[in-house]
Amino acid sequence: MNIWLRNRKITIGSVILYFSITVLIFICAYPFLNVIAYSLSGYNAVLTGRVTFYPIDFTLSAYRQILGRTQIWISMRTTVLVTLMGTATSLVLTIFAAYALSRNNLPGKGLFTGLILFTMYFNGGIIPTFLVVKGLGLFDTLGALFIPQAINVFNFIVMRTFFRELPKSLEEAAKIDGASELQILIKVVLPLSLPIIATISLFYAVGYWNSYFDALLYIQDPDKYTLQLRLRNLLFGEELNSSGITGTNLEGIGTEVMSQSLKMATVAVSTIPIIVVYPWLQKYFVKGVMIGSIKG
Amino acid sequence: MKKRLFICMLAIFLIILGVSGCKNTNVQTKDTNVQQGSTDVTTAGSGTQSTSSSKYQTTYGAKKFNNVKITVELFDRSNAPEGSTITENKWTKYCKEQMEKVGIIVEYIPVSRWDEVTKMQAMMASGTAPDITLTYTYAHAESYFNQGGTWDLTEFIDGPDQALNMKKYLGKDVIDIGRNAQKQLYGIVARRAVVSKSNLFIRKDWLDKLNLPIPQTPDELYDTLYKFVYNNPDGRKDAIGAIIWNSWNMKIAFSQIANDVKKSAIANGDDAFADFYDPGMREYYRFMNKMYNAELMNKEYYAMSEDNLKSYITTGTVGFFEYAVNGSVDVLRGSLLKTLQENVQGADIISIPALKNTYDGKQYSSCYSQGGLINFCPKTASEEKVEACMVYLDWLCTKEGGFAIYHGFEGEHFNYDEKGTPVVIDAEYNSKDKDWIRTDLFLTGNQGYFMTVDEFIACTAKEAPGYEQHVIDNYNNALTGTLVYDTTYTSPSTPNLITDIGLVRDEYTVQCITCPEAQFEATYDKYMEELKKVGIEKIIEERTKYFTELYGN
Repeated sequence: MNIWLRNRKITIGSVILYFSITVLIFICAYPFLNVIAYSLSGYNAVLTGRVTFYPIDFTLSAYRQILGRTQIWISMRTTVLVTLMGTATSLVLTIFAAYALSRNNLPGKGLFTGLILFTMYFNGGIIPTFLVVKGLGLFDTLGALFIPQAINVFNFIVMRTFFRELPKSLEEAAKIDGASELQILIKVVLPLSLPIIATISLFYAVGYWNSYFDALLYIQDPDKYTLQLRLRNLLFGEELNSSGITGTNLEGIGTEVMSQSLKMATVAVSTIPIIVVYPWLQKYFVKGVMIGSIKG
Repeated sequence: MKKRLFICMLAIFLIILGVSGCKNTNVQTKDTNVQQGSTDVTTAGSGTQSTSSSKYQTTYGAKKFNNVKITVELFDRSNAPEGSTITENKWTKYCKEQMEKVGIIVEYIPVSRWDEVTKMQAMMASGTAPDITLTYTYAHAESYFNQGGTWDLTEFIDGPDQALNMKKYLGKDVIDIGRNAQKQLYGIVARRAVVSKSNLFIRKDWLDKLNLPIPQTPDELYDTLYKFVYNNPDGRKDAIGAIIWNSWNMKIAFSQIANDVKKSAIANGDDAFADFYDPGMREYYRFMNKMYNAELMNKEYYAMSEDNLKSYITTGTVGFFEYAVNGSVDVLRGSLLKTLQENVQGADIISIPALKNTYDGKQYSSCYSQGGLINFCPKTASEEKVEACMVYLDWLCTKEGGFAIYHGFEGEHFNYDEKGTPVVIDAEYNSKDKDWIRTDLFLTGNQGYFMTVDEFIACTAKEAPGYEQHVIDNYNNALTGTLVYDTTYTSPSTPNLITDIGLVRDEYTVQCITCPEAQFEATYDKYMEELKKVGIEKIIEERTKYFTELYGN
């Protein structure tokens, strides 16, 4: 046995290590497995609470109920659109603001930074913001979902700190070569800032993807509902129907699927697409956060 | 230097912000005064019946409007079937067509059901609320009215020839729920088809096997549950005697004020109010404490989720539970009895009549208020639009309106049986065709269009093939004895105090139930002391004042 282990360079210590790590991975993954298992389990198993980390009486009816609706796909399209447009807009504005305010020679830099920081601690509140959105003609448009909150102050600070830390000599060299501020930003600063751009993009993208409250307030047309709002309506609508507050016991919907399965399938549908994006950007994500924050 | 400049700028900005805030407040106060002034005029006008009845015609068909456009809020659950949306579907089209016949153009404004209050507040504050706005929180509707933000509907409804269909279907009692203390009508309240709220369920097969009668008093219930747990007929060692998911009907069996309408109303609104105001609640918690210490309840009952409860029921673990009125056979709650019978052969659950009150020996049942959601008209709607809105609500009270929306059309969705009860032809078809929207479109009724409770029960039973008798028994048992209705009043201090009160309630109710029996008195006294510290007396005082005005001394 020992020879076998030695030949493969497997020691008792490494076995314990791998075992412990496997247990830890299982503990971390269990909530996700439980969600997936519930979403794929049969009616009786869900109702009697027998589901743990694997499906019992496998069924796709919860997913069928959610994904079988055209409206879900319309909302998915809207969310993707808002996420892409929002991330692009936010990124451009944040880069411009952060770059400008990271330059020491900008007059009134402190004042502008202060005003921006002020909005991190104080905001206008729901109703005044609603009135502004309405006044700008953004009500019931997709623009309302990303224009009012285009710049996140935290992200702005992280990016400004990153720009500040870039070597001054590079900028000076570009100036000697006759580059304008815009050329310096585009040709010198941005290529050096890919980690922070990837990081901030991810922050923004996740924020836009998960956001439902803005859609709740500013969107009236159901065809413009975001995925999160649609799923929230669907999920809580089911729950309300079964709570007896609004209706009888027989309102005719959700008769096949337990709301718990539906709940879990909803969680899966709303999170899996963005989770899939993470691994691709993770190397930038970790690096970016470290550079942006530690040096700040 | 820069820091100083920044601080100065910030200070100036804050001062400007503060001053502008004050200005707004002043303006608002002025507006409120103006609105209240106009409300007074309206009230004065409504005193003259002839003026009000001739001014607005709000019975459907009594007047032809000139294409008046109204907007109507519609709860959206994102459950529209394929090929239709919440606003564009067969039923909204039907409603629009019917209203076009009298010159009213209806546009529906979808609002997420779950977030209706947040959205309503934003829309009301920004002047974008639909002409018919709705909510389940009456306090908001009354508050908007008191601030002058919504119409006094008295003049539109109270005249002898006005809103006749509405008066016939809703009845005076339900309409009056929408009035404030000055009898002004600030909203049109939907009528609940049935007010039953909660039921006591027991394992019938265990009773039979142990040859026990249905318990009629809390003491008999205790003895029964003791036998369920310690002499379990199925030989289960994991049997749980009781799970009190809703405590309404259990509590009322100990109440010492249930026979007093005014006192019951004062104690209503939150469990803590009753715990503090009703001396019988001490006995209720004593009973629960006794059950807990005898291990007739789940050790961690306070952390139990509804899914856990359903799991215990469907695996045949629990012997007695208080749950929603039709919870045992409700399809949307998971058809618990059916699932139980799949898992445990021969198992049966029945609801039982209300237990006899320990104080006076009578039976009482806790019930919902007769009113469901409330419809009101913001001041952004013109006078003519409000008149048209009332016509729309009046039409919903007709057979062609609410009845058709809820039950569908004869021959397509239902047929009448020999007693005149609508019997569903194809539940699956109805589900896809109309049931998904029927409750939300029918704004003047909750739980369906039914003229009587018996009609509701008969129709509902027909929709549950195989469990008809259970449905009938469930609704009848939930209406045993004297009915004690929920109230809809929220006292002015409640919003500020209720969070702290809730924290005390949650902590001490668990302590009262789980402490050793010898410590019960001291724990309950401490609970009362803590409630006083967080200001419950103020709420009780306000509620007493309000309900004394309503019911007299």
